[in-house]
Amino acid sequence: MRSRGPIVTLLAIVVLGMVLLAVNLSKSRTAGSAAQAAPAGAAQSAAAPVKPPVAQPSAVAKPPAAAKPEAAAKPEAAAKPGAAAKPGAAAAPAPDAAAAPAPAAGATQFPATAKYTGYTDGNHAAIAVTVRDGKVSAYLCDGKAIESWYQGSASNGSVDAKGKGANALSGTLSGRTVTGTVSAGGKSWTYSAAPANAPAGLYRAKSDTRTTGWIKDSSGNVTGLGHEGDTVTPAGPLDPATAQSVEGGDRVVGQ
Amino acid sequence: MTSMSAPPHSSPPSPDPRAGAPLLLGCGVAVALGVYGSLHEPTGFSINLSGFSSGTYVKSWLVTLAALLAVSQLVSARMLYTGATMSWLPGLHRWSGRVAVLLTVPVLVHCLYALGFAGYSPRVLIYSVAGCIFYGAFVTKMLSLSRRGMPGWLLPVTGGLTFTALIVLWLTSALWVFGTQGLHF
Repeated sequence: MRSRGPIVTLLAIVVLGMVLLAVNLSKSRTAGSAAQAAPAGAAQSAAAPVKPPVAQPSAVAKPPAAAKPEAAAKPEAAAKPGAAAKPGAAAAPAPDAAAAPAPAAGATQFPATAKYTGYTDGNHAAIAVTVRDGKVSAYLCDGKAIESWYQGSASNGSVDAKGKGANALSGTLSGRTVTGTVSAGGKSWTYSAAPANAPAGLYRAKSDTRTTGWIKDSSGNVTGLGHEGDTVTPAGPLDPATAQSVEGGDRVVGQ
Repeated sequence: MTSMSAPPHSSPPSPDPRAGAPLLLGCGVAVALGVYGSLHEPTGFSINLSGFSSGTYVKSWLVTLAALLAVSQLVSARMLYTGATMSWLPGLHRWSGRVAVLLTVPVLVHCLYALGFAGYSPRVLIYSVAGCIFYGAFVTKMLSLSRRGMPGWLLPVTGGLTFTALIVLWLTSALWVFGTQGLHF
């Protein structure tokens, strides 16, 4: 009597796993082909209405204790790009209605160039993720003691970047929001970051000995820190004349 | 302390060759999961269910339910081993175990498919390893259950390993999420 049950159990689990894997495969394939077939902007706006209502409540539904002053900036930063989706705004309602029955948003491809700013959950630190042609530059900074730069790659809607030592950043693009996990100095946080349009973004100033980074969010709040070697130092005010805009990979634009 | 209902011929030092197959297959499953998780490029596809704030929370609650069922597994297994004779007990043990593992499957698929085997922090590394061990131990346990004449230590060891791995998974995932991001759905 003991011979069949366990095997049936095993088979059921294998079947369930396979079904879920197949669902994932088909979803990510349709999402991938949609992003390739349609102009990037259209694919973005089509996916946008599905995910943000899902992704953002995690930020909004934080316990009150975690709500710091920056918390007010976060929903706003997230809401703004959605409202500012000019090219796709008119087309959005139709894809929305079509996509609504699907409970989960598929993986979205990154645009050729994109910048995202946001905060870790609990608002411990600001984060900026910049993508250009599959290369990623990102920066995490709490404005007090913790900062880390990350370099890596983006493909199939996910980013993977490494910083100094064990510092690492990973994230996935769902709709227009990047969510994921970032670690620095042995701690790790989850974060979500929304598209940022200039002047929001990531800025860097480099001298021989000192590197300073600033994250400017969509509401204009700036978080910055610098380091000389391993010593973290306060950042001065963000000066557009000297700071360069970081635009993915190691590419910086500025002066 | 009486030994488990071992057949008279079983002498502890000599390994039973029949235990080899489930053990090997279980190890194979654990290694295969880890290798797949390392080689497969994470896609970031995220399951989500209505009513939950994010895929992370879906997974956290699924693992939490599975961990609660695992505790009932431990209790019912102990009762079975200490000679409890309630007629419903074996059924409870089997079904709570089945449901527990089935609940973990969406988590497994998402973790492997979207995130992969990772080691960028101790927590993540422990979680990744425990995930592989969990399914390896579970497969070994199921396979050894389906054969007669397995050595008496195999079932408690694989059952204990399955339970321990699941609890480690819960500690390094759901508890961490609830602790860092708040306890909500």
